[in-house]
Amino acid sequence: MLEVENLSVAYGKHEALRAVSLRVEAGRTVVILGANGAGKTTLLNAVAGIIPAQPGARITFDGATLQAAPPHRIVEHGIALVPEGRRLFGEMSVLDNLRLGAYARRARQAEAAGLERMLALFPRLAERRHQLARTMSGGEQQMLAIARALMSCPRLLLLDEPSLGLSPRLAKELFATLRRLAAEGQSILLVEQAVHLSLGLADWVYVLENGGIARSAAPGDIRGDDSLRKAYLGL
Amino acid sequence: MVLFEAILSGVLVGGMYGLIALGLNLQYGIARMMNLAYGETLMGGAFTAFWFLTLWRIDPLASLLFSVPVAFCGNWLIYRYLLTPLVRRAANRDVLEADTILVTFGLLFVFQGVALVQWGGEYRGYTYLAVPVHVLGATVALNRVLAFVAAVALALALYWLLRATRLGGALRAIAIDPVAAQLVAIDVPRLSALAFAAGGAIMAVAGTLVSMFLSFNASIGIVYTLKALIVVIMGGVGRMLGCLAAGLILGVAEALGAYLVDPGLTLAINFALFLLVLLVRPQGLFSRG
Amino acid sequence: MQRRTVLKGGVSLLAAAGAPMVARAQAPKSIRIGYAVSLSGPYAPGAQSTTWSQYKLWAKDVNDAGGIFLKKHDRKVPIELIDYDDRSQIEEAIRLVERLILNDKVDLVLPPWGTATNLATAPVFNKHEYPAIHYTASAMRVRQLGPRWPYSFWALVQPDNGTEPLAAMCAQLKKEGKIKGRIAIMHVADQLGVEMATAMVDACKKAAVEVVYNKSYPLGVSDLQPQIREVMALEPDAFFCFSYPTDTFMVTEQAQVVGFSPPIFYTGVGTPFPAYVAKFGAKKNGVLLYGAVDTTAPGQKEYIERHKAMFNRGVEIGSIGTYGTLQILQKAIEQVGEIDRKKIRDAIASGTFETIADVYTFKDQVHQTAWAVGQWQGDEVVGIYPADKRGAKPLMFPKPKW
Repeated sequence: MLEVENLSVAYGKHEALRAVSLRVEAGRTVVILGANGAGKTTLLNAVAGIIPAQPGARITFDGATLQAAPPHRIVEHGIALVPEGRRLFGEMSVLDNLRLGAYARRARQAEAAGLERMLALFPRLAERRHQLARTMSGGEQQMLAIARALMSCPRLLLLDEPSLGLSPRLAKELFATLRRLAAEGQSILLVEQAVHLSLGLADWVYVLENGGIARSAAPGDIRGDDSLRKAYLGL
Repeated sequence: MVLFEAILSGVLVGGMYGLIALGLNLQYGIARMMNLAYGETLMGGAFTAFWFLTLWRIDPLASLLFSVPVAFCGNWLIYRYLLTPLVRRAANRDVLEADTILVTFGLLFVFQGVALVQWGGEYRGYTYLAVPVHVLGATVALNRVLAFVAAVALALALYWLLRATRLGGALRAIAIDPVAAQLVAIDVPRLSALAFAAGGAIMAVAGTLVSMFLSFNASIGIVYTLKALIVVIMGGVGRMLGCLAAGLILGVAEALGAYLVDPGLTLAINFALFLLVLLVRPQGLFSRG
Repeated sequence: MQRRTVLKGGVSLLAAAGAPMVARAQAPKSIRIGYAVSLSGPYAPGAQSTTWSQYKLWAKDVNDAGGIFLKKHDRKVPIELIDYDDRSQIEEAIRLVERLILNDKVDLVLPPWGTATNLATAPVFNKHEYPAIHYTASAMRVRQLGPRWPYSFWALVQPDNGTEPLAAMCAQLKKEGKIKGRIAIMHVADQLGVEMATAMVDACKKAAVEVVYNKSYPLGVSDLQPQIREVMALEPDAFFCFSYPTDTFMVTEQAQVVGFSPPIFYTGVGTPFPAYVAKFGAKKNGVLLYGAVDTTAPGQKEYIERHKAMFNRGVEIGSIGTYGTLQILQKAIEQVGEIDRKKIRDAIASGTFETIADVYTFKDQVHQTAWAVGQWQGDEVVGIYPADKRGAKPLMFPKPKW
């Protein structure tokens, strides 16, 4: 479904990503693990089109070429990013945030249905639908960020460290929701530091280190590999 | 009676302040571009109305059919070809802001220079709808009432657009977080250009209406840019009704101060109010947060 | 290649060294006249129409006639203009006048535009002993500073003699029983407005006419109707507004809207502008204003035609007056017959000069009998006061209702 080949990203002289290649198959959940500064956020942002890739990269999504497309086109192709720090429209209500999620042409028809689905999936959001987004708790904001991304009817959902800043209980709840989505057939590319939780969700795992793919394996192999966990994941 | 008339005058002047600030609010509040050449569009609208009337006896209101599209396209081109490259080049928001201020400041001098060469430096004015209208026993000039009505209508229309339409929601999203807006499939460069151009078009309307009762010349633009900036900051960046309300507060405070204390104070009252707002509510009177 | 450049440089150096010797014997190729005027910034509109355009027109007129006749060399020498833009900044104007004198080494420098700029640059003119006839300057300070600055001449009416005739006029009309003598004053809160209003109040006191209202408004005000209403409620029979162009237009229009039409209606700078004519048409008839020119002065009609041909727009009394001061300078140079700035200064100080605007004489370097008050009569601004001047017309009283 998503194929990334030879993706490099540089911020000035600093190379944040070096020739990364990876694949996400339809209906699968792929997890990218890595320490802080390994390039995980850069990878997702580059796929979403927010930051430009170096020449030579190839990003295709079901055959469509994405590497030079502006971010709003990429959403129209069916890729939605839940960005680092959530980036909600804080001055707007929960409902307004969700409606904007369905701004993409591909999702407009389904706005009403999507809204209903999201409010069912995240009952907390239903309770707070008229509240301003920035006045909600961290967990609620994360739910809203995911719901907003889902409103665009993505075929592939990109998630950038959704558990960051959440209590263990909330993080667990969050992953339960993600599992439900995956079970419904949602393709997911998840970047995380919470290794245990994400391994439980993953169909396939990439380990990112210093801007490059250090390991690509099934979750079971990673779990069993103590040295790898210590070396790459700081556990 | 004189008091009532003073307040009424203040309301009309305040409406005009709101009117000249609405466009800047779109340009600065939505498209996030501090356009120091903003007032030059007003100057252009005023001169268009003047020349259409003087040379061809065309009604100033009809001149809007020309000046509004021209201002829209002109501002669109400025955004697209002068300011967008800055967005790409700038390392961060502060750099971008400084760059746009420099570029638009240069633009101000270009427009002013061209107008000066083309139309000369002298003051211009014409008489149009300078007829007394009686409102509850007080007398006001019809041309000022017209500017006020336009201000209220435009402010309400923009408010409705931003609050109740899909396009408006997208524009507000851009104002809050342009990166997040891209992530929900909003074509940020295109809609920002649209907001910027629409701001220019509104300023052309303001220029046409204001020229009916205030004289002007080639270098008048900067005066209105500064006034608009004060109103926008007082009312809250991106807030259309706030903009109108701030304009009305300024207008009425000026008129009351002039009547009850001394007419020489109006400017002082203006700046005192502005400073007070900056100190007490730096985010603007009508902004949440 | 290199050697040839060196050679050429040497030759031109030699030529430059030899030049002064040759020049002493011969007449100068041109009279180099510099000036710094605001061509951008807030002063640009006024400076361009009143000052800059007149400098250009005068230079063209002089050169079309072959130049200024210098007796000493027995030939006409054309003018060469060196112009700078002071960008409406006073420090820049001071710097540029010095630069013209010290770097460009011009023969003469023409004054800048505006009271503040003229007052600020006058010390530079005097320090280097360059004569200047300042036209666009009116301030009480001129009276005290005039003697200290022997090279500065002030051609415009000053606040005191600009308002005395107004008070005298009101006193006279009161004596004749034509008005009750209740006077209302409004003025812009800027130097000229404040000085005019102060001088007017003093003059009224001396002439025993009652001032019922005297208040200022700030520069750039956007509405004067409440103030006009307040004045109206006091039922004055003479209204004086010492204003700048935008407020001149505003106060006139708003007085018409609310129907305030006293028999004496006076407004300040801007009243004689072509835009005022365009805006108010026949309603301008009878409005009194600041300054005037002698419409019967010889050469004025021809000047207006030349002005129209060059700029394709009408003139106002300020441009005529400025052109008049350039004629004074030209006549003084011709009298002296050479570019000797001390002698030119003395010629200006002691002479009487017939120009297209007025007959000028300077006493203590100030043109004491400058036109003080004009009035729109029909389609012309005519001089009213001082009443004993050549070309003065009787006052039209009362001003027709709007």
